[in-house]
This record gives sequence, structure tokens and C-alpha cells, in this order.
Amino acid sequence: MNWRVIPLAANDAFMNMAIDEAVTESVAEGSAPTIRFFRWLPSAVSIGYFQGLRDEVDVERCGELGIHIVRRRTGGGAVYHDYDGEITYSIIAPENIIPHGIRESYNVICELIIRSLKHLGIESEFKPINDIITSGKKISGNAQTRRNGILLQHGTILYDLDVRKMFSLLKVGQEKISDKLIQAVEDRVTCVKKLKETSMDELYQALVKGFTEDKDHTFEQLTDTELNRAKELAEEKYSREEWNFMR
Amino acid sequence: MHGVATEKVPSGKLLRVKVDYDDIIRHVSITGDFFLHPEEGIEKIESALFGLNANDGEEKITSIIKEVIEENNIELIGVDAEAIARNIKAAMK
Repeated sequence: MNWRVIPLAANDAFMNMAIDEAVTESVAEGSAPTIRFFRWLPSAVSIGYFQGLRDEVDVERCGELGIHIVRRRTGGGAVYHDYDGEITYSIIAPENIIPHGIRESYNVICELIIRSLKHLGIESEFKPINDIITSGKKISGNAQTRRNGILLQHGTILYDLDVRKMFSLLKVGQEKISDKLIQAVEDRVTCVKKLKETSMDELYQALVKGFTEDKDHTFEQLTDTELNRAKELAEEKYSREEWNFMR
Repeated sequence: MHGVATEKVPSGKLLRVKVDYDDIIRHVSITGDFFLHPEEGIEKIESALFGLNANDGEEKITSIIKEVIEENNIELIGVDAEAIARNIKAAMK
């Protein structure tokens, strides 16, 4: 089986989520299973399908900073995707080539990230339901959905972390953003840059290797059909208030 | 009336339930960072709760949610029917 790998590219939040959906459709129609790597430009907040947008995000603050907000098709939590702070991946494939239930398939796919981090000399492990941790701290969050027999899992690998900025965008309960709270998060979350002197490009190369070393694969771009469909989905769904403020 | 209840589900995710009600449940919104497959199943669960008597107990609410889950092959991860029912009752206290 040949996999298609779409190299690292930066898109806005709406397009990133739209591309995932467009590729899911094309894989359902017989295109090769696909791995894509991407960044978010401008930086953005994504929220899980079931989250209340205003419960989780400081919408006004995001607006002031030009930060896009998008609801994902997948469950899970709110994530701040800093352009300089992370690499996101998606893996889109027929369910039957990752032949496990949802919980186990998280483990199988997260193993690719664990392997990638190992290439950088970082030891990590899968923490159910959907996290990867290193020395007890979260370094990657992941989310999955399935539709028409196609599995989509996307997730982020933290490269750099600005907790104060993240908290100015996400609502963190009643607590004020105190030094103590920042410290508490820094005790629970980490990033590649804190663990190894590594460039973003080195992280990307490690991810490509970790995701593809056991697969026949070719590097390709999105097809025109996928791109056009993604543009349509970005415009008619992911950038719309009806979708983003649905909960 | 409008009530909200929030719980970090034991070994699961955050669940926040919002309920509009008078004598009966008018609207339930189930939010949080859990997973539910297929995602649209959430609306089926929410609409099945419409019209329930506000005095109905947790067990009855749980069994209605479980019925919808079974009928629609819904899979919940990080949350369960009991937690949703518990929080619906808590939101109406």
C-alpha cells in the first residue's frame, strides 16, 4: 500500500480543517491514505466538536490579536496553535488498514509520534485517552473521528510554549492568570524546544521519518479537486459562525 | 429556568451540561472535551431528553440516554450516560 505524504505547509485555521475534510472525502473515493503536516497562519485556537466556544475561548481577545478560531470535526479540548509553537499532523486512511477500535487506534497512531520524538532523543509514552507525555508532562494532544469508513486523526506536537499567551486566549475557569497557575501548567505541559536544542525543521524531519519509515510513500501535493473542495468547505462551513458558535 | 453543572468525569474528560427547564426539560446542551462517535449522535441524545419531567430521576434519564446510544451505535469516550444524567439533575437543583 502506498501512502501519500503532503509536506509541511501553513494555512489559516479554516483551510486547515477544510483540507482535512476534503482529503477524507477523497480517500473515501479511493485516493491513497494520506499523511499531512501543517502549521497555522495566522496562529489560531481550535476547539473540540462538543465544546461551547464562548465557554472555552476569549473571543474578543482573539479578535484583537488577529487569532482565528475554528471548531474541529473531532472531539477533545481547546488548543492554541501558535505558528512558531507547534507542528500539526493529520492521518487520513480507511479504518480497515488501522484495524483496531477507537481507543486502541489512538495508541497505534500515537506510536508514530513517539517514534518521531525518539529520533530527536526524546523518550515519550502514550497516555490514554489521547495524549503523549514525556517525564509525566504532555507534549502532544490528538483527536480522532471516523466517517464513511475513513479514519481521521489529527494532533499537535508542541515545539515551543508560551503559557501566558495561551491563557490569555483560552478561558481557564475562575482563576486569575497568576504566576502560580502558569507554573502549575508548566509542570504539566512541555515542548520539544525545552527538551532538546532542535529547530522546527529538525522536528519536522523527525516526524516525516517517524510517520513514514515503515510505509511505501510518495510526497505529493493536494489535487486541484481537493483544493477546490477545501476552499468551498472553508468558506461555507469552517469560517461560518453557524458552525463555530454551534455550541 | 436555566441551570449548568460541570464535572471532571472520573478517569474521563470535562463535561458541562446546560439545561433549560420548567416543569419539563425544554433544552439540554451537552458540552465538553470528551469524544463521541459519530459526533452528530450528541444531538440525538440531547433531543431525546426534551420533554422529560423535571422531576424524573437520574436512573430514568440514564436509561433514556442508553437507549439512544444503543439505537444509534454511539460510542462515548471520556464520558458516560451516568455522568450526563448526574449532571442534568445537578443542573436542575
